[in-house]
Amino acid sequence: MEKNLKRFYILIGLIVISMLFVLYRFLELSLMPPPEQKLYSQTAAIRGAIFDRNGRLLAGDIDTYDLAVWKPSIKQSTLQTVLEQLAVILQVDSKELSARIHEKDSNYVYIARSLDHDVAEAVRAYLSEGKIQGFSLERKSRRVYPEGSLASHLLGFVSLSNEGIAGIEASLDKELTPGKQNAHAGFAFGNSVYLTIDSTLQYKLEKLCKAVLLENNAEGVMMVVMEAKTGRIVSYISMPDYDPNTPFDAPRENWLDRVANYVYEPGSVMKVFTMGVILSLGGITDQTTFYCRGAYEKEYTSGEKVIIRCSTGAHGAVNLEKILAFSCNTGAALASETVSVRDFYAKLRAFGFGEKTGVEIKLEDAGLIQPPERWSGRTKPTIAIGQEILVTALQLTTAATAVANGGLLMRAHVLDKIMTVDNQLVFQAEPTPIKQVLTPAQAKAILKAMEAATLDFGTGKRARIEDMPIAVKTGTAQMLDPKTKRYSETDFIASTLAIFPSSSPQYILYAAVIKPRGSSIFGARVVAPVVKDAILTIASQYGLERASVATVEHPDTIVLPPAVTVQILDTMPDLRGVAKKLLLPLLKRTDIHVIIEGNGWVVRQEPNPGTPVKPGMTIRLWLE
Amino acid sequence: MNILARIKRIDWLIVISTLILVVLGIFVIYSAGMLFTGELVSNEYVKQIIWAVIGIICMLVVAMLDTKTLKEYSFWIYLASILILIYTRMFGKVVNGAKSWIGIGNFGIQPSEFAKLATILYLSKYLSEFTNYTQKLRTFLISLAIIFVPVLLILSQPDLGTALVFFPIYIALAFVYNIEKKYWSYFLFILLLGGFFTILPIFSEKILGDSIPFLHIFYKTELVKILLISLVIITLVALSGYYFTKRKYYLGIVYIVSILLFSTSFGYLANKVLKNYQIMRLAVFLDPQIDPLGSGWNIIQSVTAIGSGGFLGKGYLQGTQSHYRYLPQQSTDFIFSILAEEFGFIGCFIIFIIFFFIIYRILNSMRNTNDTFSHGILSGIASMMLFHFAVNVGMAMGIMPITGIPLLFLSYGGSSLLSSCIGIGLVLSAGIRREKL
Repeated sequence: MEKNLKRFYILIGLIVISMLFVLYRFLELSLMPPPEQKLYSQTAAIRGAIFDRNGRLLAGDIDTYDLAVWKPSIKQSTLQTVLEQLAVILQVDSKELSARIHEKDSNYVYIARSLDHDVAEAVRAYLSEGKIQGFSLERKSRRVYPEGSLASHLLGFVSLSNEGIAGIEASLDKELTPGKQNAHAGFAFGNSVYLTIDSTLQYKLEKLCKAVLLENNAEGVMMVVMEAKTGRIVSYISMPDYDPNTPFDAPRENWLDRVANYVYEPGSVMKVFTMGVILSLGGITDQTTFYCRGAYEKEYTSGEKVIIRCSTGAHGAVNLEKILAFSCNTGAALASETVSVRDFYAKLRAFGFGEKTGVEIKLEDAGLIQPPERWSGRTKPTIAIGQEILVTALQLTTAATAVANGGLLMRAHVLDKIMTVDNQLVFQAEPTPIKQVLTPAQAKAILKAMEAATLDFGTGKRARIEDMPIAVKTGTAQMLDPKTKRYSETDFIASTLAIFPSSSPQYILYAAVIKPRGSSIFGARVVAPVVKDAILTIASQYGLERASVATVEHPDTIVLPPAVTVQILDTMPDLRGVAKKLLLPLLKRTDIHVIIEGNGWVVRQEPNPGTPVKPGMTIRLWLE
Repeated sequence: MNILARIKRIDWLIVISTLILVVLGIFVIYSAGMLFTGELVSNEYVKQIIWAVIGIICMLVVAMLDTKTLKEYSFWIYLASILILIYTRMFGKVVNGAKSWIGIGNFGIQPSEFAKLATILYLSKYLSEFTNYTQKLRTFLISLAIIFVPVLLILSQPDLGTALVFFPIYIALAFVYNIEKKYWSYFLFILLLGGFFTILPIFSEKILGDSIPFLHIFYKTELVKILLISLVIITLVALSGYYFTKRKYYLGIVYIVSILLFSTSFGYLANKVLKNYQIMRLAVFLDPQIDPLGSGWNIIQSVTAIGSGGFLGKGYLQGTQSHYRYLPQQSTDFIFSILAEEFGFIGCFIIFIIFFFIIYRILNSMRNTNDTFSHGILSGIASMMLFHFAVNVGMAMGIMPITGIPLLFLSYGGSSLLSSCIGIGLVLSAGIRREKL
């Protein structure tokens, strides 16, 4: 008995110890702060939409539904009939559905995904009528870009879980992502983003750029159009592009945003800014003359030798105007001798080179200017002609605001405003002056010199528009061959910067073609004509003052189209908002039966838009 | 002893405690059947009430039986339960993936629940009659065989959770009946280490992220072979060492090395036989996040429910985890989570106390009787109750593997409720004899 008693106490002791452990864990769990209630499928997260400056939808979420099964709640006895019914609604094989239920061991499985609203409604009606348990529809969102590849690089795209991966989708992901605090009645909305681009213009210019890309068999084309006075970007084009609805179908190199993320040596276009720098530093005036013998040669005490040639031969006596008009390398190199390395560097930085422009695209590149300590003797004259400096198209365009704007450098913007889903203004981007980098007189001098480039002797003559004064600078930059580390004989970047109308600058347009492989490689030949077309497009769209065109006639301002009668072809159109008068011809149709109820405009229709129209179908329209 | 005298001697404290648990269980099952809309989607609570009435009647009837009679018939009871298990294995109904049910229509029982009691009875009889101290090993092996027949039958259903319950029962009886410690601890070590090696592959790959390559030797086929061969060689060498020198420490080496040998092979074979998801269920409690939508889901939801209950609970019928149906098997395996969510720490602590009060009373009756057969019944049932409680509650709290065994008296399920009521009946019957002797 003594021994048994001892065993009894050992037993009790062991039990007490093990239970204390369980109790400890229990206390830990129940005293820990209650976990955040997860809403799972109850909240539909709707990512904010992206609009252009006119409120045209560029990116938005549409509803899709996933049909899920919670196995413990399903009734086995009726499961088969339920699945057969669902299979009819979903237009799949019921065996497939049942296979999906059983293929995973998990209790919660999805048996159909990405259902359209109409299908989901039908499923919902069926489930609730039959009081069928265990099935639920989860509302999901899918990002769509109704304009397809339009401005794809600016917009970017999202991951399968609707997180921004590239472009504005990534840069403004925080705004677009629905916040938990905004969740209300089962919905959480992200803020809407309005961009500064004009999708109508964007579309037209993209067409031009695509044509250039194909004609020249080029590696890439970029074009930026900016409002000179505000820095707001109107068009943002990078070619080749991709469709953000299906970004993964496109080759990865198409994802590259050549406007903000492609850095290159700009070539002669850079002379606009290097000459501006030298001018503002007082090295030259618009009267200073240099003598071009066709090449700039210099030997430094270190033994380094530099030769910079003019491709078109000797230009003789050149001043600022002629340096820019002829794109005279010798003249530019000689001019760079008038200023110190340190001043030259500092002023280039003041124009924004070598640093991010501060546009609302997070991932933009900063380009590169080596710090002066690392410059060799040839660096300064070489930068003066636009080599040995890496820039982005965005930087060049932004820097041009200083020239166009009386010397005042503006910050580039692609973001116009941010609104909440119920149209409360969250943020409004205002034009942001950065710095006065040139005096108005200096800016004007540069502009005048660029204007001269469109004269018959200038490199920009192919961009000339007879009835509008424009300021142009072309360039053909050499590209470093990554293999040989020398400038390539065949690869160039042809580009053109235009500011117009030069009498009172309103727009800056920069276009570049990377590695043109067509009949010509020169900026003057490849790009200038496109720039001309682009300027004409912009001018007609925005009604810029031109001598020969009456400005009241804006071919693209919205004129209400003449009332066309409604037609129903193979799919049902969206007739909501259509007036009764226009519907009347439908009544004459013999192949379909149209019933119109009420007067006024269509408010409701059956079947829904997009439904295929079959002969003998009845179409009902309710008017108010 | 007449019926009246027996009734007087019943430990009514156990009866009352049991009743409290059963009634509480019905309330919680009612809550589990409710949707967040307030709509009642399950009539499980009605069925549970019917079972509870049947169970309590059976409990009292069994309490009236004399332990002597029980002892006499225990072999036949055991044999009958084995036959029914075989029948179930062959013709049973598949419920939740296990062929564990027999019955007509929706009304059926799970024979494995009753086999536990039958085994306790027969094992107690066998061990209480074992007086031959010269054949310790033989007794140990026969007693092991007695539990392994039902265990293997239940494992083949397959129902791992119920099969596991037999081991703590066995350990308790072995302890009470003084079976040589080194025998049953040998068996216990193999069982525990074997379980460890079973979940080791998943633990190593999914949770440790394969950061300890050393562990490969316990589960990578080519390495396991080498390990097993070397363990066999060591065992043989140690055995021959003992054979020639008769030194005891050789046996010590054999003891330890063969434990390692058997448990490693056990784990390796289990990984070959069991499906990956089955092992995942056993391992996932270590880190539910490795499979948050599959096996880890239950644990994550259950822990969330317990955590959101806090100290005082949300109030009866106010739980959200359960009414939004985040908790799977919420009326059976995870009933504790609802209990914790709605009644909080305080409510559950009271359940703890009641459970342990019952276990304490059972062990206490053991102290007051000299009948060795009764000792077996009492300790076996106490051990069974304790194991069910610890594993079920531990599972809900995420500190035990998901084995799917119910919380006795509270969980929904006729067989479980009926068999635990009968178990209490046996306890009462064994307790009644105390003053007679």
